[in-house]
Amino acid sequence: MMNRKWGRAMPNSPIGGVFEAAGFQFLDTPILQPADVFLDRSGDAIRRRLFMLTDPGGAEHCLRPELTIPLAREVIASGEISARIWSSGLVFRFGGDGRGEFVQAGLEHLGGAHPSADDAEIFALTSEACKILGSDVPVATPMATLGDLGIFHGILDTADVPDTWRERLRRHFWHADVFQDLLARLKGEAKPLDDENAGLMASIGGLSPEEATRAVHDILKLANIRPVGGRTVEEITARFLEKAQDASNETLAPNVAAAIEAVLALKSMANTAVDELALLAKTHGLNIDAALSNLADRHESLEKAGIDLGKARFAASFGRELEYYTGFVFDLHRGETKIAGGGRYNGLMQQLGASAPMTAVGSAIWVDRASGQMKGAAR
Amino acid sequence: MSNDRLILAVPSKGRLQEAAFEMFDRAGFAVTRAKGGRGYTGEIAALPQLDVLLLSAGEIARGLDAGEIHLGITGEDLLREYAPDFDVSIALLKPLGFGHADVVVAVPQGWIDVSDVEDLREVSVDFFSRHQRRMRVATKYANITHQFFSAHGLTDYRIVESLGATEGAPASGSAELIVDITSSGATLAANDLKVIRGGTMLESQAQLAASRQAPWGEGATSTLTALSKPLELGDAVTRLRVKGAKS
Repeated sequence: MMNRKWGRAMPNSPIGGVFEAAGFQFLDTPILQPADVFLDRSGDAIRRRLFMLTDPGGAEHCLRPELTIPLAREVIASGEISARIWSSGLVFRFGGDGRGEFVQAGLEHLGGAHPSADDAEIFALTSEACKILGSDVPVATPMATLGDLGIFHGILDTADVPDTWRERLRRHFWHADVFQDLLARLKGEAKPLDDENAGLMASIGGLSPEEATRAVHDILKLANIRPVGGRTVEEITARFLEKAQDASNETLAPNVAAAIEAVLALKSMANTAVDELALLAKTHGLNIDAALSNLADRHESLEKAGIDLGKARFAASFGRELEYYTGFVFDLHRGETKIAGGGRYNGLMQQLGASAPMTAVGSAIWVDRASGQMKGAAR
Repeated sequence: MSNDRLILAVPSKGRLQEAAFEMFDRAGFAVTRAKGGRGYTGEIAALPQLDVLLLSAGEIARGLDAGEIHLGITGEDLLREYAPDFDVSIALLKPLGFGHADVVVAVPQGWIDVSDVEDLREVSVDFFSRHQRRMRVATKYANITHQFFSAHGLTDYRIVESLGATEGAPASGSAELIVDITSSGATLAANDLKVIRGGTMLESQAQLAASRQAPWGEGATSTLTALSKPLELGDAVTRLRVKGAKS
């Protein structure tokens, strides 16, 4: 069954030749996909635009809104531990303007062992494909923006903040306004507990997490409140204690908040990004050498692949709206129109069911827009 | 198109219908139902250019949004739910002072760490990272919920459509929390739920609403003018035309 799909060439594709010459095989995926995986994994922008269907048995499906997750699922199901694949076809997103289907091409390198070189290869091929697709468009060469989520994780790994804060900032990174609120709290004074919570705190403050959980169990039982709604008493208690701990700290870590803000605000040309980040890190007393060395390696690989970093932009906060990315991120624009985007998403394969960690880097090309057939900024 | 009559939709049953009929009565517009009171159409003797339809409250909201009826009496909650582009399709002419109900977000009482919307936002992200799935919100108000949550930066959730007994969803395990209407809060408490601070999405009541999408010819417009004074609608025709109206 697998053989039918693997290796079949996409007819009449102007970009397929480029991908196949680089050793990427065509892989087709079903248009009809289980809805759950997209509802749980995709960002809000995609989730709200899904076309959902219910089958006669009541199970929910959706029309694929992108190609990365369908391709990843095929590879996981095949049991392969590495794959270099590409795909092309319709994806479906409700747009509000009556148009719901778009042609997308996807390129994925799964299970690769050379992060920098693999990142650079995907970027170079995506960029090349966009040039071919845009050969009839007046400005054929698209503008690139690069980013690296590894920088943010590097700051958090080494910054002098309580572990609860480290985790909290990591979890909320994807939501810019929530994250901003957290930084404000980290800078300023903690929010006091309200009366109801203060009373509870008086009875469980100072207990170990286990004792506190038992106490909360007892309190709920006495009040005749059933534990409903999918969260365990352990996790409720843990968050309550976290909240109470914040309230008891007078001020938190203003210097760390300021450092995070300064680094994330950096925008530069890509060829100077490493130096500018290193300077910022030094000014704010951060040690992010490991993350910077990864970034430097990647930029070197990109230059080796023939990319002119003097013509690409770098933005340190770029990529935070794309929840599953873990490292390299990029997109390609022509004017205001985004024509391609991609990056590294090392966590996704296991979240989708792979039995062992599996590296992953890939891209998606909006074929209609890249070839100038469709304007507009639909995301 | 061919005839320029004004279509007025009134709820077909219950308390909302009684109150609506009383209101028209008081203004001197007694509604007579067809077929000796059993039909789902009717008329107002004083306004020969007006047809009355008796529809469910949900159908009235949909019909106003689609421009199939000119005027209707229904809950603001349903209007805001069924008309995603609210200002473009609907003009609220008069709050009627009955059918009060708040659309609220309610979480399990056992969530002692959640007292306001900001807590809920943090919990939604915690929940996803702990359970590898998004917390589920049972509701029949998917649009109102989306608008409220995204205005508060809350994105890690998914809607579970619920068409009845929504309060029971957390206890039955089909959702973590709910968005629903409540008038007293007693049903919520009976199901181990509490409303969080700042969690009132909409204070709803019955409204006399006009559709901006309906064909407002001269006849329909002058019928609305005739209704305006006795029903104390102010300058209904101008309000219908101005705010957010499509050119």
